[in-house]
Amino acid sequence: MKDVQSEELSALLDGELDAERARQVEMQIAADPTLRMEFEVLRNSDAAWRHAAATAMFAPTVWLPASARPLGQISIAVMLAGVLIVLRIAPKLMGSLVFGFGLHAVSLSVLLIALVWLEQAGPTQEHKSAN
Amino acid sequence: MLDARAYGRELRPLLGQAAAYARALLRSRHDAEDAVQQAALRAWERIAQYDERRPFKGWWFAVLRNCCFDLQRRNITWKTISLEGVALPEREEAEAADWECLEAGIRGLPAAHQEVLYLKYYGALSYRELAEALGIPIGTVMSRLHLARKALAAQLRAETR
Repeated sequence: MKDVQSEELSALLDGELDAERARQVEMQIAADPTLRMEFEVLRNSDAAWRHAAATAMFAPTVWLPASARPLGQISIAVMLAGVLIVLRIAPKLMGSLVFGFGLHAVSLSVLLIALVWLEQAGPTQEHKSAN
Repeated sequence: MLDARAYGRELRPLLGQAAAYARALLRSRHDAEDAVQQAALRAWERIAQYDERRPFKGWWFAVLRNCCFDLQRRNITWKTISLEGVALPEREEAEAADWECLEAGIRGLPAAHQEVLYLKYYGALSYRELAEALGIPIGTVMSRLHLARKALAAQLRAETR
């Protein structure tokens, strides 16, 4: 079995050794009092740091790219609903009115597509971290 | 390349740790929030440079680290210009939390050791992510982190004597 390198003690603490090597290092720590003492010092310091780091955490308010939000899907749904409503109303109307409503439906669709595109390309969205 | 939705999904779980890391570096909750915000936008602007085969967290923390350094430089400049001769309190925050007491222990360590400790503990980065964030090989991360821990443990022991 390969001797334990000093930095492998840190790697063991951090769970960065593969299972086989971790087992070998643990066995050598158990058998060697000097190694065990060194490992204990590191482990105590590590525990204090982990606790300290946890107390420093807070939930920042961050603005993320706008298209990361679900509103993009809502806009698409609104756009489709608008088109469906216009198409449902249009057959009930006569002649030029049908054409007029058709034109409005197309205009509305273009407008809503532009809005959705702007939202996707837009800069930011407020997001509160869950942490 | 990550799209905006995927970017948001990757970023959200990191924000608490990012805030802790920035807070420890900048010693101010307000500045930490600014740094995390800047990093969120700056990383998004540079998302085309991100290689998805590499760890996102390490890449993003490298951006955050630079934002923190920029804020530190800005704060030093502002203090120099506007408050010549005026003694400022060391910290904005009134209460000394656990992390602040402990953090005082690492100020005597070399910058490279401080850096790896901050990223490891406040950012909770893995070795691979640390290597990405610091631009060094994993083997160097491993030895640097171990040396930093030993130095810190020795310093804390000396202080408690």
